[in-house]
Amino acid sequence: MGSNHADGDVLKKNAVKKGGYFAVWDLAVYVLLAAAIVGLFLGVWLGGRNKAAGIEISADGETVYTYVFGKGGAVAKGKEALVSETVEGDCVVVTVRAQGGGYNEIVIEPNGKKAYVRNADCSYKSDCAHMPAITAENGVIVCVPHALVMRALGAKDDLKPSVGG
Amino acid sequence: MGYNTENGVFILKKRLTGILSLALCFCCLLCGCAGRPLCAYTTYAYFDTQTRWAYFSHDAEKEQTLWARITSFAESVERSVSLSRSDSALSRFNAAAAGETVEIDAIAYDLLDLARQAYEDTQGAYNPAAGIYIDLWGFSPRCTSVQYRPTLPYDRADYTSELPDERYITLFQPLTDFSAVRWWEQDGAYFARKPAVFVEAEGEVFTMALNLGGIAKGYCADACAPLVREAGYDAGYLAFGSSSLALLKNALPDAESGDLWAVGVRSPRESEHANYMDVYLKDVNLSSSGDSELYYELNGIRYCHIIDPVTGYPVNALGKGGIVCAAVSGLSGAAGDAVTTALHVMGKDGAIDYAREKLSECGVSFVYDDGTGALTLYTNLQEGTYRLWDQTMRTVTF
Repeated sequence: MGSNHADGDVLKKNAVKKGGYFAVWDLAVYVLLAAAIVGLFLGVWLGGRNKAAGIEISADGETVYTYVFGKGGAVAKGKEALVSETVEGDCVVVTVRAQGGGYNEIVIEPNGKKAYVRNADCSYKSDCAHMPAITAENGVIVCVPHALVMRALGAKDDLKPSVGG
Repeated sequence: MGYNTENGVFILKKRLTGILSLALCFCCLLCGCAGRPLCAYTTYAYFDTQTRWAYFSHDAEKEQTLWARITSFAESVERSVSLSRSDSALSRFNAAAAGETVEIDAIAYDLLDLARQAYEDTQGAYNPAAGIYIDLWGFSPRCTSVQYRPTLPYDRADYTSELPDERYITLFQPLTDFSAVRWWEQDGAYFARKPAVFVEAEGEVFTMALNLGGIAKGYCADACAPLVREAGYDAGYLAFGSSSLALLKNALPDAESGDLWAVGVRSPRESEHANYMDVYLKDVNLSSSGDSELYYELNGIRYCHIIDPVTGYPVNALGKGGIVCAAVSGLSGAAGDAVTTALHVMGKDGAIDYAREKLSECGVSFVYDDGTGALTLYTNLQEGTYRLWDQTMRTVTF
């Protein structure tokens, strides 16, 4: 038994001697292993950092307009009567008409990758027009009276609990 | 044993392969340790704000059923006490004549009991009978509705540019005695009787108007948290609006100190920080109230929906500063909602005295504006249980 173990080692050593210290296949295995390690690490680390691809606007639970950064905006099929889109300088202004009457005027800044409500007639205070702008990272703007929700497209929903405001 | 180059390379290869394989296994384990994601059901259908249940999923069908139960309860509370619904028990009570008895429901009955407890505990600083003032100042659902049209003698076309006639502030004072309201249960039905007090102005008769919106969301949190716990969900949270949180444990891998939530408390004024502090909590209710929830500004003064029932004016309306936001943990949701409102009315010194006397087992924080815009955080939280993001805010521990 001991002799077989020693013979096996000798055979391996001879194979190493014959094939060179680091054969091509050895290196290939090491590279694959290293790539797998790096790939898994990046997958876990970057997996939680989705960056938004644009802005999605929904009304009454249905998407009415989508703006993809770098590509442009599109009104959802069948919602053309509710949504109008104009360009003001570098910005895109989207006006969404609520089903029960009223409107929200939304400004999308493609260069800054953000969007906000500029004007609305939802209430005398227009809370939605005072909410922080949605950035490429996260954020939601809600206009409850008009059942309008704006969120960063593809971004993770911010589920950190918070109070106040 | 000896050592030669071939032997060394062979051993190196074995060790290198072994090390890389171990590293690969470790990375695979890391992926597994990323943990279950936090999921959430969210709706904006109740209380004119967001209702959310955040949970760690392990049975999608069970979660769907639980969410249906949560929203069903929220719907019941809305049907009972929402002033946006003319047929709610509370709307019918408010519309009734002085001295009239109105049939209510079990939820309204419960909420009245909770309101009375809070009214007595805070010696009237929380007063649900300030509803007439909330309407006078333009903060009731009737006034904030997009369909609002001036119909009452004190209504203005634009609340944000004209203050109410001061005559009404004095006139309505007798209508705010909540201790005069009676309610009872009889043969399985519930009733409430309005005080036999009314005032007249411009040909209109005004009677008491209750507003239980201040504690309804906390009441929902109190009822729904046990539902999710009993179903086996001991991690996550329930949020009713931005004022009432029922926190369970935090099972996210980046949880504070093992299983605590870092709960953001939003900045009461414009700031580079969305939250002025994070509080580390679990298995507890957190309530908050503030003058940024609903307000308008006129001539540099902020008029908010939190009314001082004694003066009839919104708190801080003299322009001399005051408490601008308050957060309390450790009470029931309904009690916490009431107390955070009451702290604004009590003022800084009254709030500190009250917290020391009645809230010593709770976490209390409030931000005080000295009238110049300078903000100070007053808190009884221990260091390490919170993190202050806004370093421009002075901190006083009481």
